Amino acid sequence: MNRAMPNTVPREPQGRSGRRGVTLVELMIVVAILGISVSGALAGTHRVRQLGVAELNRERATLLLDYHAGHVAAGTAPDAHVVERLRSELPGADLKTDVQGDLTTLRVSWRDPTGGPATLALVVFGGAP
Amino acid sequence: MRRRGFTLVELAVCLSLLGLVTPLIYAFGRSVEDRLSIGLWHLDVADGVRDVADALREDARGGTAVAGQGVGFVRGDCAVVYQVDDAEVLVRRSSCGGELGLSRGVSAMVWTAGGVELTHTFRQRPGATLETVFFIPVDGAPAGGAP
Repeated sequence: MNRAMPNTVPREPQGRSGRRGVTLVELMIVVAILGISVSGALAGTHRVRQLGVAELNRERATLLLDYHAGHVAAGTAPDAHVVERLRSELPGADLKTDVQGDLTTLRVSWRDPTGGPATLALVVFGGAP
Repeated sequence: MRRRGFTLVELAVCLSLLGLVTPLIYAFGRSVEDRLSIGLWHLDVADGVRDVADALREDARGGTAVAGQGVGFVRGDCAVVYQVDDAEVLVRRSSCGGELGLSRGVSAMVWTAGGVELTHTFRQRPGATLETVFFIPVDGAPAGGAP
């Protein structure tokens, strides 16, 4: 009875085997998800590595501050050779001393692995030697 | 229903792609693992150096540094030595008793001018070794460093 009625159901494109393939959009979505995952993993691991180096630098800065603080508290002059050695191991190290009355503020700044500045400060009882 | 299988060409293409992608995935995984392990090793080294510096500072305040085989101090009647054991753990041993593991992955600890040099070594795999040297100042370190 409906023999004259055309088939209105849209037909999906079919290959030789009768199975539908993958569209370009689907492929792009998969590739995009893979790309985001890979770049996220790389960025994350890079960040961990930077944190590790930053922690090493922080430790070197702490050693430099501790050494100076010990001499400030004892009222003695730090050994220039030791200070130079400590500073040379810290990239872009700069040590500033600020004396106010009986308090001395030691502030060491250096270059972070990310390129930005990093600072560590210590307040010591005692005048600068 | 009649199902069609794979042709030899399709199988060959698939295997070729797999052969191309597998080394890439392997290299990527290895790179991620390397970066992570190096980052974690740095954190471990920083933690160990903190403990070693604290112990050295305490020994330098309470005793006298002595030059000899390795780093050591005399504190009253006790002799304190810092030794790296077979498992590459830096251990502080006191003749009055007491043994304290301070840092792992240590390959050497020697006197140097004004302090000690602490070397950490990380063996990722054969042929890939990382080394970090820390100078830790010690008041009263033997003049001229190592004897």
